[in-house]
Amino acid sequence: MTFLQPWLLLALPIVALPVIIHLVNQWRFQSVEWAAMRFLLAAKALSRGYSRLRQWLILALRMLAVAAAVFAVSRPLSRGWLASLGGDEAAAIVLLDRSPSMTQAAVAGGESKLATARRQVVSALETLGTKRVILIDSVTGSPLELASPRALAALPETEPTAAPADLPKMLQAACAQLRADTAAAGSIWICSDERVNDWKPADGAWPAIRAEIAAIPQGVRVNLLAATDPGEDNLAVRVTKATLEPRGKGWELLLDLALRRQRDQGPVRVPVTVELGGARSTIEIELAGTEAVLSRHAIPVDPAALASGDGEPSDLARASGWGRVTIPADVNPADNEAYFTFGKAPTRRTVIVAEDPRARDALELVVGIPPDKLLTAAVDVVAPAEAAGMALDEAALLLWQAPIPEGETLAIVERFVDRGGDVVFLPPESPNAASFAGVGWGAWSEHSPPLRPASWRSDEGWLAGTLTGAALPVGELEIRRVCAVTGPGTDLATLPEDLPLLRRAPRDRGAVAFLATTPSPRDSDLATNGIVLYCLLQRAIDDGLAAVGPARMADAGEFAGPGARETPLNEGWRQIAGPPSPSTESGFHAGVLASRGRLVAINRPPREDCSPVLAGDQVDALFQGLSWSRFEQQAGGLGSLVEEVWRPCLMALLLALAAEGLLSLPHRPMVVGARAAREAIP
Amino acid sequence: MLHDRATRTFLDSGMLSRLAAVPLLARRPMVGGVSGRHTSPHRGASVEFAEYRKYVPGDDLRRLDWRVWGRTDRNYVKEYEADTNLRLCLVVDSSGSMNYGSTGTTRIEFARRIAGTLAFLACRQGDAVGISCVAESVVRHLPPRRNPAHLRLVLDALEEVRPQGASHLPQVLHEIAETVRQRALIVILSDLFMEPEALAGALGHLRFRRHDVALFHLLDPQEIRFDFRRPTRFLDMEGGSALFADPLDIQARYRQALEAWLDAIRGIVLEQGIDHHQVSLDDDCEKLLARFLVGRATGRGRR
Repeated sequence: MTFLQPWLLLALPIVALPVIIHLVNQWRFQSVEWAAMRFLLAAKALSRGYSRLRQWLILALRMLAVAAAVFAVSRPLSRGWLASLGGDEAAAIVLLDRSPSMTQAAVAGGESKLATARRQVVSALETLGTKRVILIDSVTGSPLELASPRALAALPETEPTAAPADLPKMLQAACAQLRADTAAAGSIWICSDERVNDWKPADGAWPAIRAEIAAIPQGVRVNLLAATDPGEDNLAVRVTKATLEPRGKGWELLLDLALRRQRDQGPVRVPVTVELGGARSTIEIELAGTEAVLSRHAIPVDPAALASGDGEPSDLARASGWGRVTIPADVNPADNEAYFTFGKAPTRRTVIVAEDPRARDALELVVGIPPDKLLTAAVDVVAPAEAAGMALDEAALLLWQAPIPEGETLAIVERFVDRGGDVVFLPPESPNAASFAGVGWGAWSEHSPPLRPASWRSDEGWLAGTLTGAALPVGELEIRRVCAVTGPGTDLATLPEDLPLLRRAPRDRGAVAFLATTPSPRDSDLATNGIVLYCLLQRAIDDGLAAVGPARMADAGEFAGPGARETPLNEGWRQIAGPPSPSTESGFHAGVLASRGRLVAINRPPREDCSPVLAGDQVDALFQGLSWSRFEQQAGGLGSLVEEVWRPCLMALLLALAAEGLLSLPHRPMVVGARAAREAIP
Repeated sequence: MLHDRATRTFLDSGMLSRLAAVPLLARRPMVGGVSGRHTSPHRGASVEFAEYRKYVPGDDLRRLDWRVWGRTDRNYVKEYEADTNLRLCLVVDSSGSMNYGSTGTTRIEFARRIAGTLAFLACRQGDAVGISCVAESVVRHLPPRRNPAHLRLVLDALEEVRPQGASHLPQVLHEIAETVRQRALIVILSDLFMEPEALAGALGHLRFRRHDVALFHLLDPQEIRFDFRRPTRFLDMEGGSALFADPLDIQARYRQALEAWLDAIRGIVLEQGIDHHQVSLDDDCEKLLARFLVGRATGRGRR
């Protein structure tokens, strides 16, 4: 326990005052000649034990009363670990987890975890007299200095979003802020529900974060306000897929729905309301276990009645629309609804610029076969010499097997990538010295026996495993000729001796990858063992189509966050469905965005629905060696995080005085005198 | 009779003159050497008829009742009650505890006042007065005598006695019971700070010897109230070890012990038929003695 006026604790020695007074009183005794000693001796013998105990009790209560008075005037804090930081000069950095799981309440309709944490932090900072408050929220990730702690409760930047949080990045931003502002000692307040997907305990940045915090010279205290109630009664609904397919003369919307809950509580029928074009329909899904899936739920659609992304009647060619599914309210309103968009699938158009006919033929064959019979694919083959005139407006992918473009051709490719298109460069026979996004080609090298890929990213990206979990047979490829890749980037696959096979160049938008060989039989067996090449290129087309298709569904944050293919503000996206949200945060809130006839449904990421809570020892490990405190909070809890507890001290003082008074009360007077006087009356 | 009256500070002439109107009487028949105003167990020559007795040879013929002989032709002798004088034995406790007094008057001074007044009254009505000052033993003893010169010796003894030492009153009372052979009025003035059982034995001994016992139990108001406030070191006035105590802590237990002791004393005096007077040192001495004298006068007549 610490105090707002700790210097008043210097008065604590006066706790000994009752003892000193008692001793002085004993020392100032009077001597009296006394005749009736026999009664004194009898009384002393009778009351020795009780009298001693009573005397000690009275002394203890008096000391307790004095101590309580000193504590009360020292203004103790209920969780006063900020004695050294709690002055007016202290700066507080508040890291706010705005992920959808923070909207969970203790009861349906109650105060959310986020609102509770916000209120408690405001109360605590006001109690501590903290004047400098810096907010780092999970959406922007950048510091925002507030005028006062109370502003924390009023800012739109503290409202919940559908985007997940990235605690390691937020902590890195907090450390950077503290390093830049070394004038005042500070504290970091983390308001979070400790979800694994937000905290990323396996992230390699954590050791560096710990080291950074420990190295801050003025000292930093980390205060974690954890609301870890997993919300076991919570149900979440999600649209996993919405496709528009022709049925007879009309169209039919096929919805794939998923219901999920934290704990199996027996079978239950959940009414799911589908809202489409202003019409509502309800279907019941039986949920047994923790997850239920409804596949290809068909809803007839009249394309003429649909609205396009611009709110205008859509044309039959585009045939796009949006809708919403909802389930009854529960403790977490954020996952009770999901938005979806649908539209006629666009043509999977690929432009191939290749100088090697054998490689070109293989590439043309791979990208020309769509992965679904309902999809259409188109391939435009352009000779390198004619590349300056190629049309990339409707292309999703550009395959470039020629010297890296320069001049006007380079500008065309740059625009294509900035629009969100994908480019895969393959090595030319004679590489030039040019580079794209800082990455270029080196020299060819031949390998006999052929090289096999040593490692590749199988968890995500273009070489990730299949939906069934099986890994792609990347390791079975035989690479006979390899062209060196120079420049920075992320290797998605490497050959022995750390030779890059597939390197992704750093780009804010779009995707640029360099494949170190070609599908030509002379260079590799990518064509003959075509599964890897097919998956690689079809996934690249899928990514590129996001910038071309009329409707898509995206995870919050993915659409507008760092590295996203499109920037909602720049592209003129506006929200046409969903709860109102600041335009600066478009793409982070659930809803539907529209721009120039294209629709994007923004929903929380799937991992938000079932992310477990960090175990206690995991949190301990994350902050190991740091000065930190963890406070378990309950959503809607009325208690304050830090509050002055002088009232209990005052109550203790009063109780001690009352008890002391009771113990000091003289015993019931005997009637000795009265009886003697009565007998004296004649 | 009392030539140096002015020097006796414990005697109040006004009080003596007022109390002189009430005789000091014994509650029991006394055996005296001379005629007096107290009843005697023997037949005597007073005017108060007692009984008829058959004449036996040798009886004085003057006491023969001729009227009875004329009516019945039998010889009867008429007998009358005898009145005799009183032996007043004053037993004054002179132990150290008798020097205590919180009201401006010590216990020994109060005892002197009572004893001196009673001695004077007894002597004035022709009774014999003696005194025994007792502490660990008999400090001073004057046997009962009738002459006024002896009264001065008694008063001198009262004036000269100084309280000191422990009190062995029960043993001394046993001794007095044995030494005072004839019936007497024994007036005890003491604080009785002793074991009640020992006191009961001594008083029983006196009763057995047919003495009329009066007991003035002298207590100081402070000893009853015990309302000290500050921690106090109590020094034993009879030479025992000192005791340090916080009066507030032991007040209740003290009063409890005192009450138990007083109850025991009251039981003893009731059982023994003792004329008991619990006296507070702030009581009016004259009223106390008047109550004492009147009480005894109303109880006279038992033989």
